[in-house]
Amino acid sequence: MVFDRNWREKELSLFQVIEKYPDVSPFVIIKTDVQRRGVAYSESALRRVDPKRHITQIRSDYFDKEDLSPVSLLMRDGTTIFCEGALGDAPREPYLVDVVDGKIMLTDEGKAVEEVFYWEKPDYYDKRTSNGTPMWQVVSARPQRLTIHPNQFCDFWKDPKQGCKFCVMAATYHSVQKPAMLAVSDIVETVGEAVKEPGRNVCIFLTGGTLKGGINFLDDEVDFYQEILEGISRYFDGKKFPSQLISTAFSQEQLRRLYDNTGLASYTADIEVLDKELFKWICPGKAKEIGYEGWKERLFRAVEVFGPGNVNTGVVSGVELAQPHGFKTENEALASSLAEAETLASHGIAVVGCVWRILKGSIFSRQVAPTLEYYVRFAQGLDRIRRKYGISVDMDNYRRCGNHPDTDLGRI
Amino acid sequence: MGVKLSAEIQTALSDPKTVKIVAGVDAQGGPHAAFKDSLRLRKDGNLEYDEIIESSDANKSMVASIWFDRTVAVVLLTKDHRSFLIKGKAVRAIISGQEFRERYTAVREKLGDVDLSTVWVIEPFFEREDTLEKRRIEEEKAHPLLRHVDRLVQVDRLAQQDKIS
Repeated sequence: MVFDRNWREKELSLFQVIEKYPDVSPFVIIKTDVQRRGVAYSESALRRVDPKRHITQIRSDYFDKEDLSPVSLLMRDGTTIFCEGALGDAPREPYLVDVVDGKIMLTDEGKAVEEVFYWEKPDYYDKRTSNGTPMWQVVSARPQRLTIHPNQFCDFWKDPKQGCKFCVMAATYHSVQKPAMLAVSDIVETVGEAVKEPGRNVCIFLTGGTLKGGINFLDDEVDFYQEILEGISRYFDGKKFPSQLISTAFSQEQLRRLYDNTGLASYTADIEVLDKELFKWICPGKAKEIGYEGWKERLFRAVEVFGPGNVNTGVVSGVELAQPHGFKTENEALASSLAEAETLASHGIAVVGCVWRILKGSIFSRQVAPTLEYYVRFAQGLDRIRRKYGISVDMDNYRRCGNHPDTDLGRI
Repeated sequence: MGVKLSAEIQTALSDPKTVKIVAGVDAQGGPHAAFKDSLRLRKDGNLEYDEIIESSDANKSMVASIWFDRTVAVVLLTKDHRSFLIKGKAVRAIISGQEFRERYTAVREKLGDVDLSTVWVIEPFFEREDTLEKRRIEEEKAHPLLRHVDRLVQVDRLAQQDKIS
């Protein structure tokens, strides 16, 4: 797909999409479009940021910032909007966050679209660990989730042409002076401080780059997560607690080790794109080491360990249309991707979609995201499949990651 | 556009003995009503209540209201048997932040080891006293033809008619 500066004339507008899909939440449609196009802030909107009250600093595998702009946004209905990271080289114009009639509003072409709120800062954020590490650099916060990125680099980026083409983990890592691996003691201490806050967190979440090494392939990654989770699990007397790990696709033996020895409750291994050939092109490292069918097989085995409804897989929705090898039309991409999502659902695995934010620093930075309508149809399709197969949305609902329009739709 | 609720309704809302019901419809149009003792007036003139159960029908009705601009109804029954109807729209779901934390703490102090899903904010746009006697008088004044004729007929005239025949 080639970027067209006159894109507004070629696509349905936000309001046309909302009108065309009356059964889809307009909040979720707005969120999706904002994530697709990004945001900018007016001076008056930035003046409404209170660094003592709002989250402005974040350190993660994908995003690192300390300026005084808000990290992201929340909508009136509780829907989260992600605005993290600088968009790539061919973006559509971003929404402007501005102050209108005293309210912080998303605006587009001078028109107010919807009120938004800045994420509030948790109590632990400005504290330091006993090692002196700022806690915000160890565990980042979403409105209701603690997010831990223990390994902020990825072994697939150490080998030429093995990194995933949409990924900015390596670019983020090289742009900031930071350790690749966080200290386990810092993580466990920060989580211990964070969970004291009443009513703040509904999930403790871990993800990070692949660690290929160990006695068996990926054992180093499993060991690292196990050590962290064992430390955190002590706060919960070893019982299962609302938690999610997104990792490389582990073997069943490795998963059993995590499940049996920690309080981890749910598991995700992101397949990224629902097509075997595109997986080889877009995720060459994963394809070489595990393979598309191998990845799926590991997901199937994960359900046997964690139980139905406690395993899912994420896709970067839209990368299936990346050129030159992606689908040539949105209809083809939708039909193929949803058929594959249904195959996975028939094994108890829900597919969750992330809006493809084409980020600076990724190999795909010059690609063009699909239309808003495509995202709405895809989210609607995934939601229908999840309902058809009776797969619970709880492990990844709107309160947790907040990056999945399809699971947002599961609220009603 | 919201309305300012009357002093009588404000008093009823602040009385813990008032029975408070919130009703809405789900995404498929199915009705649902539930008792919401926590319903109260906010400083901004809107209503709010604490939704304890995330996956409840009541919560889904409120999500449907805010997503699709659907009306919810609030019914109050006071200890002296006066009733009030309020219609409004869900305008905010508070699920995190300082305001949520305060309610989360308050709810747990009151109810023990329970969770809190959402503080729902409802903007009222219509209110009416629905006490039967008041509504009956209003109805007969506004719709004099909507009544059974046997209530209107003069009994002594009927008696005279009986004698003639």
